[in-house]
Amino acid sequence: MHTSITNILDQIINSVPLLKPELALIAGFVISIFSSLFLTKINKHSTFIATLLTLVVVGYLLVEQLGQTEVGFANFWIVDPISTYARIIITIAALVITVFISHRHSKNNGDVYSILLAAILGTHVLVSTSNWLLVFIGIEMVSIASYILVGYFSKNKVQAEAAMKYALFGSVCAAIMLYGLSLIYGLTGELNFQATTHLQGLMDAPELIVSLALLFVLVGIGFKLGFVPFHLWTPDVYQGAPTSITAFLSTIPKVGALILFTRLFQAWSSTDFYFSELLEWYVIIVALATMLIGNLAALRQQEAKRMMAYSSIGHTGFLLMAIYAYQDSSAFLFFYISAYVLMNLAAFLFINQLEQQTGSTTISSYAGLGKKMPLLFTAFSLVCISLVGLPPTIGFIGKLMVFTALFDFTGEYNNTAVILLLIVGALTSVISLFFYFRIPLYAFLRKSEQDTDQKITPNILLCIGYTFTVLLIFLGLFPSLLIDLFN
Amino acid sequence: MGLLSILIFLPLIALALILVLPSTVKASYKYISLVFTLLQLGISLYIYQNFQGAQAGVNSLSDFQFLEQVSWIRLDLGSIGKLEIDYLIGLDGISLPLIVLSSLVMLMGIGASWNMNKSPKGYFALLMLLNTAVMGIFCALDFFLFYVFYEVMLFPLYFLIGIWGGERREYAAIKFFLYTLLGSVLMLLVIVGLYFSVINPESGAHTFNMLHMMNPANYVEGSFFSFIGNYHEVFGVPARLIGFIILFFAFAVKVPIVPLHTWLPDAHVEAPTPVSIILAGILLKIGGYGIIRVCYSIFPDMAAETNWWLALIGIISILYGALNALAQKDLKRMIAYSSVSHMGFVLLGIASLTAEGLSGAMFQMISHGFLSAALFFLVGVIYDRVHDRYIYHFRGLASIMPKYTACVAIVFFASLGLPGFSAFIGEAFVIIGAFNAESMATGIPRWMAIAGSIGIFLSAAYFLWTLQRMFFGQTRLQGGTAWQSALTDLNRRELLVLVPAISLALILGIMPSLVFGKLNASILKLIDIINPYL
Amino acid sequence: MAVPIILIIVSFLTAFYIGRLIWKTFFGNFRFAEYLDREHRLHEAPTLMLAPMLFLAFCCLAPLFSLHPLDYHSSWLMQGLHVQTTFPAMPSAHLYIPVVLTIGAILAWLIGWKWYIKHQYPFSQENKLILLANNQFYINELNERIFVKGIKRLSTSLYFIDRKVIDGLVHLFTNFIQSLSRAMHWLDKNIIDGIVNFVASGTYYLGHLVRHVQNGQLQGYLGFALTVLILGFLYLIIK
Repeated sequence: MHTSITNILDQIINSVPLLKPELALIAGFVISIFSSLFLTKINKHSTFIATLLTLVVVGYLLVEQLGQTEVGFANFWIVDPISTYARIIITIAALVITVFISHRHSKNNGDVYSILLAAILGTHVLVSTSNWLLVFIGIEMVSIASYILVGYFSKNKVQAEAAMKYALFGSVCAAIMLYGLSLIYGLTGELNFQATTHLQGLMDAPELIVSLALLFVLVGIGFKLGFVPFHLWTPDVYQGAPTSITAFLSTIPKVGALILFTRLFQAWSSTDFYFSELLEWYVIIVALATMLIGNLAALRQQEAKRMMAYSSIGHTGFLLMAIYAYQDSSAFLFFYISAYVLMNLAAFLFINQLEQQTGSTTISSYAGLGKKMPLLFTAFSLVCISLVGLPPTIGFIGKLMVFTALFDFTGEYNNTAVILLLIVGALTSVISLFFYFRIPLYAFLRKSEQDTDQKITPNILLCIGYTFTVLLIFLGLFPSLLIDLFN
Repeated sequence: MGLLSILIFLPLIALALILVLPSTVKASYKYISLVFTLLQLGISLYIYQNFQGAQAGVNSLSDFQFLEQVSWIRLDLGSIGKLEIDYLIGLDGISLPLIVLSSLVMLMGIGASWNMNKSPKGYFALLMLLNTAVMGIFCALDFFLFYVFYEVMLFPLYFLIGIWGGERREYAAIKFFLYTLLGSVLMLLVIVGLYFSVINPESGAHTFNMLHMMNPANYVEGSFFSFIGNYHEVFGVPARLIGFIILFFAFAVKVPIVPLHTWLPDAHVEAPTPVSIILAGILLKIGGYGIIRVCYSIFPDMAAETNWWLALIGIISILYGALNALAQKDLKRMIAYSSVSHMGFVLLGIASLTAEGLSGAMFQMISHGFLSAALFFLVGVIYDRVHDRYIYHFRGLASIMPKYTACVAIVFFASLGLPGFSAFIGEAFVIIGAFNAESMATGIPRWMAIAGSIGIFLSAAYFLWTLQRMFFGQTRLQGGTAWQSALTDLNRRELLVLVPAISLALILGIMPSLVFGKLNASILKLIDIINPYL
Repeated sequence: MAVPIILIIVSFLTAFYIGRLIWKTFFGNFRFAEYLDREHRLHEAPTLMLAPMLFLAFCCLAPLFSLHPLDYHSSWLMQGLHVQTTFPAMPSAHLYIPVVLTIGAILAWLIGWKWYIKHQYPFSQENKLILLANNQFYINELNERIFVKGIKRLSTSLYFIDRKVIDGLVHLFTNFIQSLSRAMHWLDKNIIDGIVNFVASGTYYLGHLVRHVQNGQLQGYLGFALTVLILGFLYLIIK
């Protein structure tokens, strides 16, 4: 307690440069509120442009931070390659989603941008900290922003219901998590989960309480990641939310929570004590259950967005597997994350286009459209192939790398858990083929009942979708181009 | 860009052309496909001509011909190591005949789809994509590359069956896809395991190079699939055995063996004629090729250990397929089951581990390749005319379609193994191989050879019975006079497709050395690899 | 030794019946005159027939084969057919056998001349041996009775066996194979494909079960999640 106030101040001031991207976000947040209040009358795109500019600036600042490994604000804030890569991916995804929103909801959208920026700030917090307090703040920032986003454009009962469900489920989970955090803080007296005192405190504490605390904390992360058994909100919310927001939900918060969980798992699983094993088993079981349930439940879905919800649950299970196999190099994890983001955004862009065209997101409404929109459905089918994880797409390389990492994991080949994970991972991709291929099935194999003679007008969203599709294939053939970025 | 790359990627140029051209010139799509497949056939014949039969290949890279090696993917995964993937293609005696066969059958397929009117753009584009994938599979020597082509092959087939297929096409298409995918995702796990067990002696990195995987010296000691002193077990089964079984399973689905064959009758029956031709003529061979190239070459120890079971599966497939063919009332389904039976010979020959058996298996694959293509084409002929294939709906076709009947009779006789035709050489060699296996101590008992010959007998039974039921006797057709006028004899295009296949069956039956000359060295080498483990 | 002797005897007999033919045809009374009517004239054979006959007759002359009547080796035919034998040749046999044959033939002709021209035929027509010889020793009848009829009968009975027993077995076998194939087909369609479809539909049904939790009721969701949480906690306690 001898650190003088000046020292603390010095440290804070020295740490401020680490926060540049986040400060830019905050500035952008303020500007977009201002612009939506005052500038929209002058130029209705002003907020949109402000947001885009903010994101571009954030991206630029993040690129500057590449290769930096620093800790600031008394270990509260970590800037390392993991966080920087994650934030870059988030920013790129955010750019696409901003365009998405502006294109899809061109009216009364002023506040959406500021909320989006707030949510992104929340994910930035999630990926750059190892402090429980900031973790909670981050989770809540993302969650609250997401609640608003889901409900923002709600026009009918279903959409309002989705927002309500999301908020209620989220608050319960947050409350449970907070309770778990308070237990942990009480047991260790330390909020940084990477600190040795923290681990020491956990080891000394009674096992029962630690187990309880651990479970409770995982509830919060589980809610954000959407793994079993906290996945239940996803289908309803994904379906109820506007497609652009669903695209947001399935990508940005997931990346944030995933990085957080990676850090936590990395810090806790490498110790020799019982809760490491506990955590490992927890991840294994959850990964298995999530892959299975996500993919099995998706089999019966008639609704594209709902199907994508289950698909993202399935992918979360796969990502948990990647986290389990995580070692010193994060390259394959980021590869999978970027593949996931790319695939999901592309899929939602296409779903959105079809929603505008047919007014429906049910898969059966795609019947026979393959002949009328061959390019769109070819691209969509390629995205589906990538989601299944088949070559020559990025999804396959991602899957291959996760398998590779898992196989190499600790060299223990007699590890039943590893083998189970591998087998279930492989089998669920067979299952997933069935439901992903319902889209080309309906589009190409079935005949349409009604004669819609609509022409698709090329628009920027579709262009982004096609670009992503080309990228999916291109990076599937030359993955080095992407993975070398993460090294 | 070597000759093989041109051979593989030529159809992609056709694909691009077809996609770019507007549908106002849709009549040109088939000509584009035809020209490109003809070019491919020309290249493959040129390759055949310049192939040195004395160079064995199999496990030594320098012996491969038309070799191309470009480093493709180098991924640095930190502590996991470097992912080393090459674009590595080449030919040896095992792949060469299949390349020639593929280009020929592809040409037959294009010929058979001449009257395709339902969205020809997508159809020919997918056919070309399939063509690329198939050529790639037979040329690839890097496991990753092999796997990529292997999977890419599935998409066009799914759509070809699903869009242009028959009544239950959706079911057949997804069944086919799921079946194959189930085998191949598990194969992916084994590929990853092999990757970790094998080191490239030159660079010290882990590698996907199949030839490195064939050399026991390249295995890391104590690794999952290591050759010597491997104590790893998965659920009580030795790791190498399980790797072998999974790979075998993946390819056995393609062959297909009983009981993994049920996708085949459905896929064949529902697929349009050209796709059936390609399915039977080329894709089934990928199974046999995979077993030889991957299972047997990379796991020779397990091959020696399990060949009794493999031969048994072969026998079961032969008899089971033949008996099922005998019970069919749908002509196409009967031929589909006959494929199961004939491909059983391939497995029996491979499992016999004798030079005769393995050469016979390869020969049987080639012979079955164009004979089954011809058979499916012949079914397509009457289906095109009256949209019916039910055997009992036809009688006495000989009097109204004499040319057709002659072709059917020749192809039937050739398929049932009449001496002088190619199938006889293949089946005879397989049975000789299986018979000699006991004296070579490879562990195949003689009764298996005898059971195999019963299969030949049964195939004579169903082919001749069908011939009798459909073609001889008083003409009596289900559809009456309408059918009678619809059932015109073979036209020139159809003859143009059939005659090469029939003459090839005859030529190879008389001069089997055309095939044996190219593959003999490779077969002997393969046996040399496996022999120490017997 | 028996073979040359029999051959020699046969040669005598040949000489005898050729002699008989010549004596009877060209000598003695023309007994055929009464059977000839006016339209049928006996005349010389046409040249078309005569020419080949003459040619053949000419070819029968010995000098055509060898100019040297005593040395058979000089015959071009023997030179052409010259074969190496494992046993030693007996050149003298080539001398005395023809001599014996020639003498025998002359004797046979003399006997024939005596019998047929001088009509000093020594045997009566009723002689048993003559009858036997006239009927070719009844070999044809024997053949007809024993072999032809026997084989016919045998074949009829074999045909019966073939139709009823062997073909019956074949039909039985065919039926067996056909029913086996039908059984296999049934097995294939219902059991093997059935298993495949069962796995598929089982998975599909599993999807339905898993989906069941998703009833849209928030309390249900929370209840489910918390139940799992509590179960996990209980497991950790009693572990």
